[in-house]
Formats: sequence, structure tokens, C-alpha cells
Amino acid sequence: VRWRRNPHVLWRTAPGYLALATVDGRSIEVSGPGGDVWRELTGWVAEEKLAAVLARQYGTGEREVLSDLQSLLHELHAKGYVDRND
Amino acid sequence: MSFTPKAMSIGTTEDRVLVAAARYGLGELEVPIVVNAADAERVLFRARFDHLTGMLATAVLGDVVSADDVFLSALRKQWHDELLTCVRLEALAVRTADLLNAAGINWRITKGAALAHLDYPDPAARTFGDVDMVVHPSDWPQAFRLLSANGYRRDSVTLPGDYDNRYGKGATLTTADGLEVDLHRRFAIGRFGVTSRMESLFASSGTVELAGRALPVLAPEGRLLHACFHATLGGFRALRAFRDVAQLILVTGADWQATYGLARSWRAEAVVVSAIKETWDRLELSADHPAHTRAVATRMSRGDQRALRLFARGSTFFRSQALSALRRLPPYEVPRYLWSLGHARRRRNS
Repeated sequence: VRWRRNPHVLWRTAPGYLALATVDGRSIEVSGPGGDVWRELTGWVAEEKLAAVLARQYGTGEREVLSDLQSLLHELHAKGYVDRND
Repeated sequence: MSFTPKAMSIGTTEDRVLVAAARYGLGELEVPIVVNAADAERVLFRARFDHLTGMLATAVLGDVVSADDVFLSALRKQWHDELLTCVRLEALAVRTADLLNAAGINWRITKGAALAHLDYPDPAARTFGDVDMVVHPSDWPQAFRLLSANGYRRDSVTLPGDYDNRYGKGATLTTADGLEVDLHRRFAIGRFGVTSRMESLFASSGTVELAGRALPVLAPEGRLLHACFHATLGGFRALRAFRDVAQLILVTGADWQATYGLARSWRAEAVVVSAIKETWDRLELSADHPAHTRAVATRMSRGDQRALRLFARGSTFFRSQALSALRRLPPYEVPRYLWSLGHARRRRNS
């Protein structure tokens, strides 16, 4: 599965923080590593590759990261903030 | 956010902290500044009021400003709140752009959203509290009517005699969810506003990408001119306004000579001179820059000096500032102008 930012979303990142909004006025805040995930999503990225990058950043195992990552990406996808390509 | 234990504490930390934040990235102060616990609340209040929070947080991340964990936690919260507001405002900017474009209106984004993305290395450092759009003079009445018909509400009084279009700065419009759009007809009221030729700003432009769309923005020299007007004549002339002037000159490399030229053609060179001199003073910048040298060497007329003093006193009433335009108006315009302003006073008295 590959993921990318929805290019029609407005966003800001800060350490441990991500703010997203859609043009129609919906918005969401994500705390924790959401900003780091977002920074990696500049183009289509395979979730295994994304997990590997984040695991290196956080000094933890890829499997552990992958589970949390999938959960976050599925939530953002359901709300229209990221695109998914199977 | 890290803490720098070797930093030394300095007496009146409130101003020093905010100056350090406002000039962060332009050449650092020699000693990191510590926020004293007694000043913390006021520092946060002033940072929020002036939308300096992003710069303060960035200065903390850069170890230029340090504070205890209570302050850092409150700062983090305040910064995140402002960042959320920024993306909501940018969504509003895109929706407003769609409305204006569909009506064929000629407009540009200016100030907050434009500067954050085009002039600062990280847009999170430059937070803002409203959307600023400049509308071409020939389209301003239509733009105002269009937005008013689409749920944007003006809370202040609309003066009679076509005041907005002939002499005014524009209108602040509020949406149902409490977000603001400043629809600019001019950059200021009074002496330096009525002689402006806003159409000259539309001869060139840039773009900023928001939500995947390229939206038009003022070119750098126009953004600098607006930043100078805000720094010199704006209602809230605080450090962030001066940082914008410095950022555009020193980092963006805006053509400041073109800005001087534009201002001179508007009979408003004193506004740019004053903004640049005060920027260098308040941010304690190195004086060795030709834009500053020119500002220091430029003589201002007594009339310009009087008008600048009037705006520099933040408490001056609208009417007093507006009356500074009288000597710049053609004589045949004066009765209509005074009648419009009289309406404002009658409304206040009633």
C-alpha cells in the first residue's frame, strides 16, 4: 500500500504536532509523530518504506512503528487528508 | 523544546525575550535570554496579541530563548492553537479566492499567508490572525458586495459618500465561524492613504500555492510596501510588523529601491523611511545596509512628520487620523470627505 498527502489539504507542522484543514473548513490536530509522518509523504510512499524511515528516526522496531502508522494513515484517509494507492 | 542551562538572566526580560524572538535568524544576540517566571504570562500574552508565538517558539528551539517547563508547555499550546487557526484561515482564503475568481475580480493575497509561505523559511514561524486580500480599485465595490452577499459580515459602520472606495482602507469582514478577511482597498487611511495608487501593485505579481492551487500574491516590492505601511501606520505596530520589514529586505531580497520608488509615486516615501528606521532600531539590527542608510539620509517634510506622529500614538482616534488627509485632497473633495467623517462622529455620539 502506498500513501501520499492529499494535495488539496492545508497543513502546518511543528515538533510533535500536525494541523490539517480541508478547503470546506474541516480541520484536525494530530499530536505525536504525525508531523514526521506528514513530512515523509511528499509523494507516493510505500508504508513499509515509511515505517523503516520512522523506525530509524525513533530508534525502534519497524513492526512496532508499522502498526501505529497504519492506524494513523487509515484515520487520515477516512477523513480525506491522505490519498491511498493499493 | 530544549532548555539551555548556561543562559544568563537579563533584567527586563519581557522586551528582551520578544526582541530576541522577533529577530531570530537575522543575526543572533550574544547571550541566550531566559524568560523569568514573573514575566512569563505577559510574554505569552504579548506574543499571542502580536502573533509572535511562532517566532518565539522557533527561537526557543534554536536555544536563543529559554524558560522553565511550565512556560514551554503553555507556549507549545499557544503555538499549536495559532497553527490550527492559520490552516483554517488558509482554507477560508481558498474559498474566498474561488468566489472572487468566479466573478472575474482582480485581487492579490498579502501579509500573513503570503509572507508565511514565500518569505519565511518555515511557515509555522509566521502565524497570523486573518486573511488579507488587496482588491484592484476598479473591482473593490463589486468584491465587497459579492462577499457581503455570501455571508461575510462587516461589523463596523459603512460610511456614506462612497467613503470606502474613494478614501478608505477597506473592510474587515467576518465569516459565520468567526474568521476574518481584511479586504483592502488601500493600505492606510489619512494622508498617506488617499494619495496611494493601488492599481500600480497589480502590474506584477507572484503566486503562493495553497491547497494545490496557485493563488496570486503581491510581488515582493508590493509585500514590502504593505509591510512598511503596517509597521508605520497600523493599529498594532508591534515587533512582528517590523520583523516582516526586515525579513523582506534581508532574507527575501525584495527590491527595496523599487519599494521606495512606488512609495514616492504615492507621496508616501516617509512611510517607508520611518518603517525601515524603526525596524533597525527596534530589532537592534546592524546599521550597515543601504536600505537603512537611505532611510536615515532621507529628510521628511514637517507635514509628513506630524502625520507619522499621529499614527505612532496607537490610541489616536480614527477621525484624527483620517483628518490628516485634508491637505492631500483636491479642494473639491474636501466637503464630501468631511461629510462622510461627520457621519462617523454622529453615529458614535448617538
